[in-house]
Amino acid sequence: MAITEQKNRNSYGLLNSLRAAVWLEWQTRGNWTNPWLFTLYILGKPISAALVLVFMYQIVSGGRSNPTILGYLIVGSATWAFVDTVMGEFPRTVLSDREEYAMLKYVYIAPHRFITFLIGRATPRILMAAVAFTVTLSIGVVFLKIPIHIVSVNYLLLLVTMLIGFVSLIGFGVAFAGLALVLKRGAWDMSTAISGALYLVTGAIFPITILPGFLRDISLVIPLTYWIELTRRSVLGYSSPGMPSSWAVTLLIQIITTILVTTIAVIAYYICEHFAKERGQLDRATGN
Amino acid sequence: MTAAHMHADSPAIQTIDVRRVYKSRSGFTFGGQKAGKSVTALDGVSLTIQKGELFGLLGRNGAGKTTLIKILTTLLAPTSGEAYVDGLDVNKYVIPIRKKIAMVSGGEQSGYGILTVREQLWMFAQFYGVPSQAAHKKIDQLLEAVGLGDQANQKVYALSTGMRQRMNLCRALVSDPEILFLDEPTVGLDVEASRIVRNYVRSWMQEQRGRTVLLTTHYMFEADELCDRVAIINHGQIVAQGETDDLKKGLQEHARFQFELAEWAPAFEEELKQSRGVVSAQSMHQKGKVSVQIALENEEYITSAMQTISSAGGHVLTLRRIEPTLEEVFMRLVGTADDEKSAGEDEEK
Repeated sequence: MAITEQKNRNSYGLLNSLRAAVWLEWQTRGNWTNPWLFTLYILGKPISAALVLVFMYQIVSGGRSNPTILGYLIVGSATWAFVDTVMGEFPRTVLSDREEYAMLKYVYIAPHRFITFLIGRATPRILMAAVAFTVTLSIGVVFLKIPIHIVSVNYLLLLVTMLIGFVSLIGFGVAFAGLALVLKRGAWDMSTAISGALYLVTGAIFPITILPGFLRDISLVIPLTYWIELTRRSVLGYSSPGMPSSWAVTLLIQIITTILVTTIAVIAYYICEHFAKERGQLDRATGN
Repeated sequence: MTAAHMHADSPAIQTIDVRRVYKSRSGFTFGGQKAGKSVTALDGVSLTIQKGELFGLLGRNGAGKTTLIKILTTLLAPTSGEAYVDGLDVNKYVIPIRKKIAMVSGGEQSGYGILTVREQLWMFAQFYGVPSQAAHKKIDQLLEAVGLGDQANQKVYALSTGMRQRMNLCRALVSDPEILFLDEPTVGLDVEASRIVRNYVRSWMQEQRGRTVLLTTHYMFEADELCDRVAIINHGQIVAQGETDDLKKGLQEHARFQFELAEWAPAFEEELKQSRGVVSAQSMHQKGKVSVQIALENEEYITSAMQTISSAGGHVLTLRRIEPTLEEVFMRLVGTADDEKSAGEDEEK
């Protein structure tokens, strides 16, 4: 292939890299076992998490189930599958490619923005989480009789809030990936710790009104709070305590906080990447 | 001036007084030695490598070779100085540089183990914008060329170290880079795998004019065999650079020859030592044969030295000129640099 031919290639960048990164993640996540075991792997965690919450609720309520509260728990838990599955993928990609595969430097010096590669790697996780979301809700409807009526779901609102939610998830993930670039191998635990903190303050399993004041203030600037709320509202049809009563206002706040958080996250990523390059950490494996 | 204009007639690689200092709160071990809380990996490195050259950068472990490659491949920022790849500043034109380069590092088990060899290469071709069909064709060619044709559909985790390194060479070449960085590509490989890598690098260079390779190695024979020019780096500084023959000639103060004689008499050595132009003469007895090494003021005195042997009754079976090896050049220069450094340190004390 001639050098001139190579110079004429103008299709570098976003789409090819994104596609290859998506494909890589799908291969590395799904190619290790047979499809049935893989499906069980995808569904196991979110369903177990939802059932744990339901059993805890049943014990606390003394067996007197309230479908409204059960619906709150199940929808929050199902939506959280996206956060849990997608957000942690970003730092995990950095760490596994640097520490296990020793490929980070080769991927990094390819002619694309590394951030594109990271987004590509996280994308199949959205699909996996979507499957878990649907199955968890289905179990809630069939076995726990939560009040979801397929015909009355606001699908348009669900779609819009989901798409904006994915943007905020990518924002958080990108920032964590940046941190993983400058942190050592122990950063494996970082996303779990932050995810746990967000689980507490975003209204995933209980209304934010029961949080202490300063934590409630924090939850009001996190876009995930509005995402989970709007998902609940579009599926169940009612709002949660402490949230604006208008879905349009909630959506507007979700959009604004998403833009703010994602912008800050991308800036934070580039600052971390700059420091990693300055310090020579991009290909420095810290394991062993 | 735009990036597109800057690289028209530029050298493939140019560094001007590049320094790189690593800092750590807890201290470093660098090049096998405790180096304190900061270490200067590169100390004013200036190099120019023209397009079409296969240039060798030689140095011990920790001399700064890999650091320089990291800077040139946009993995690491220089602390100061300037570095250009095809005329493009490594600090400013990161993506345009990456379109032109590829890198292979030796001594590591890199690769996405769950992918097949073909899949891994295809994926990298996608990163570089090579159309899928062209990529598969190129992958077949490369794998055949490095003897991995039968392993195309094998998982990467099942490859031996040598096979994995050959695959990594293919990974770098699948995008048809203009400038290839090979960082100790044969370290840890067996003789056969090393030979395949060296042969393919050589033929890749010959395939098309204008391709450039920067090879770092501490195998002197590898540099001698492959490189047009070399630079020797020690403690982050370039201590010599030039064509390998010139470096060897520069080292040689006297013309050295070796005779093999049918028989020996002690008088030969004495006669030789007194012969015109002979600086030294030394005889050795090995496996029933006698050989004599002589050093001459210049090669013209070889005729008179031969005549001296003949007149003393000696019968010369073979005669050959002794050329210094690159390894001797390396040891002399690096040893000298280290000696000077330790002498300087002694003076300071």
